[in-house]
Amino acid sequence: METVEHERCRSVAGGETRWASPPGSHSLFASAQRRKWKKRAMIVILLASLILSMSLAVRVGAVHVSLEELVGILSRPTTAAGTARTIILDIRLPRVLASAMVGAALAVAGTTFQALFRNPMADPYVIGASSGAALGATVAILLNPGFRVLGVGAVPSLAFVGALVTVLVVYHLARVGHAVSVITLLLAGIAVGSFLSAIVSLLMYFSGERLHQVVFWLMGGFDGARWLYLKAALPYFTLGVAIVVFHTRELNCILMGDESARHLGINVERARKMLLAGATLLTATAVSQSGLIGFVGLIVPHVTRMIAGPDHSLLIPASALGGAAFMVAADTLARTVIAPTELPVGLVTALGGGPFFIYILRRRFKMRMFY
Amino acid sequence: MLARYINRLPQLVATLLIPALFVLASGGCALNRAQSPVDPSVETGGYPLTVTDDMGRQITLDSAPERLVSLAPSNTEILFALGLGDKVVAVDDYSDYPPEAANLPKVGGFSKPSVEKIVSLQPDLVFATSIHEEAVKRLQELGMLAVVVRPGSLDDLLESIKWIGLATSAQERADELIRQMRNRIDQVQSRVSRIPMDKRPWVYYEVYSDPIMTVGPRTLISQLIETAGGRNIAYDADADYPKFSSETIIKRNPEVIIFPEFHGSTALTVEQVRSRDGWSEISAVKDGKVYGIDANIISRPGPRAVDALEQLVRIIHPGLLD
Repeated sequence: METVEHERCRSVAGGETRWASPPGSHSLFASAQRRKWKKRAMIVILLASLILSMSLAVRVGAVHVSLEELVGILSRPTTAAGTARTIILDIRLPRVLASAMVGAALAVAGTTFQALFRNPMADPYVIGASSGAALGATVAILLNPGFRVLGVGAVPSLAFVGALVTVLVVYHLARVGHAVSVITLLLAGIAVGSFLSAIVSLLMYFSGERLHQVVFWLMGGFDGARWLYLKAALPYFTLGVAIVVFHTRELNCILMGDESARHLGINVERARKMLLAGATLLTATAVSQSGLIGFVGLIVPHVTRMIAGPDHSLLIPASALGGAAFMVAADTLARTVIAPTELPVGLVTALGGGPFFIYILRRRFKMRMFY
Repeated sequence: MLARYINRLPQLVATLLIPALFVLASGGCALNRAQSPVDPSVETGGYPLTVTDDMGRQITLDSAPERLVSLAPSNTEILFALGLGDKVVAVDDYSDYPPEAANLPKVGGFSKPSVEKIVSLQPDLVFATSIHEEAVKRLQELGMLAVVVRPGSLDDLLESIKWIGLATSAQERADELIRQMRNRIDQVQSRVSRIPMDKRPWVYYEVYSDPIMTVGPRTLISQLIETAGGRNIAYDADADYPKFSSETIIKRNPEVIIFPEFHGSTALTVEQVRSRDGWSEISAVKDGKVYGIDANIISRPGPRAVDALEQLVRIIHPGLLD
């Protein structure tokens, strides 16, 4: 029973057959087989590109480390010594891993929000998580309280809490009885977000010499990456991804409309709540690690959907891998093109991703593929 | 939501980053220092030696540092003035004075230096400013020594030079430099002190033109103007680099207008100021008292701040120093 429903969500939400299947392969079985193989091939390719970009990212940097040295350090991480070891193990590796984690988190959160809101403009920051995180981080930077949570300093902690609390507030503002309307949620998100942004701006105006810290936090970046932060973020990241992955079927069905989803036996309210929680957790984890990095959470889901099709059981893992690979590549460029000076990574994601996105979009238009 | 920030990025950069550059160039002055800059117990200068930097943090040096990295132009200028030029192994992208400093290896733009690059140079001591809080934290975690130089006033600057000299075993040069700077400051102060308050011209310093921004009373630039016998028209501003409206400036009617010049190019001319609506009525414009001053000397809290002070006196009180 469930499989059939699943298939129905997939084919209605789909449209994948419009461009992926040659005419004639109409049998449900054949298309399911094809999908399975396509899915595997896709995941393998994305995984390979992620591994490739991560290897390259560890290899290059402002300082040249020879290949033999690099291999030596990575094969004997505990016994290796010297400056190169510090650079590879303490500076580059956590940074590469952090960018991969944040890229994956933003892409998965973006994909989820786009499906939940049935809105191609949705991104991980759509219901105010970014403004909440910005306020949390700004307050932490200005007050500079000495506290640590799980070894993590005040700025990432308060950014994380700020994002979660804001989305919680937005959710409760949008709730009428037990129902939450998607439109109300979006509007409440925009209103609360604007309000919090205004407070951040106000704080910035009177922040004196700490102003630059706030500005750099808002621009986002991975230069603050540490093992400690990675360890602290990993459980939330894993939980967020797990929640979304376990609800891909619900995502497919919700995409068709709440009514249709209900007819297919989905508890829409519950599924939406879980998915919102998962995506918000991922967004909060990402912003607490890196500040605000735009574009990735908006564009990676679209590009992945164009390539992988709209079935979320493939789209979600593909977005995660694609987002991670893209962010690793972007950060590597950001720290190497004019090394030792670093570019803001958000600049690279927009500069590199924008034209690529437009190219894909145009190609799809030419082939008369809309979605 | 991010679009909110991205759409406003040009404005953000203009209204925030540019004054921020001045904040970091001037080392900032919004906060009070945590402790007195020099620990009285370490005046002797033997190693191991503990110095307290401008953030009140204590750093212990086992021997005189031989490899120095500077993360700000002002720090570079201080180190070179102390005769430590040959020990400086790398500087930030903006360190261009003295000219030989510009040829040194670079560790990146001074807002976000490359920690990786710094580590690879294995410096004995890194000279940062308050903008480098993240990098300093990072370097400390990686077992490097870093100090923060953040003088909030001319007097603070002399104190900073003193502990820098102590830390780098360049005490004599430091004392000599401080003595010279002190003399020149005293010279200015003794002459300016004879001018009664109501004879001191109102000065408007335009940090940035679009939007119009000036300097708040806590900034080093404002203190230099006051020391040079001027009165800052933004004496009551809360922010360090407040946006000011044209009408406030016209109302406060400055008698002297000063603006920074970058690399010899004038950002503003008397004609441009005159052409602003209503500004032709301002005394400074009517009297042609609109002057440029080298941005690098007035916004870097280094030895050349005294040059800036004397230039300001020449602008505000021509002939006073002759």
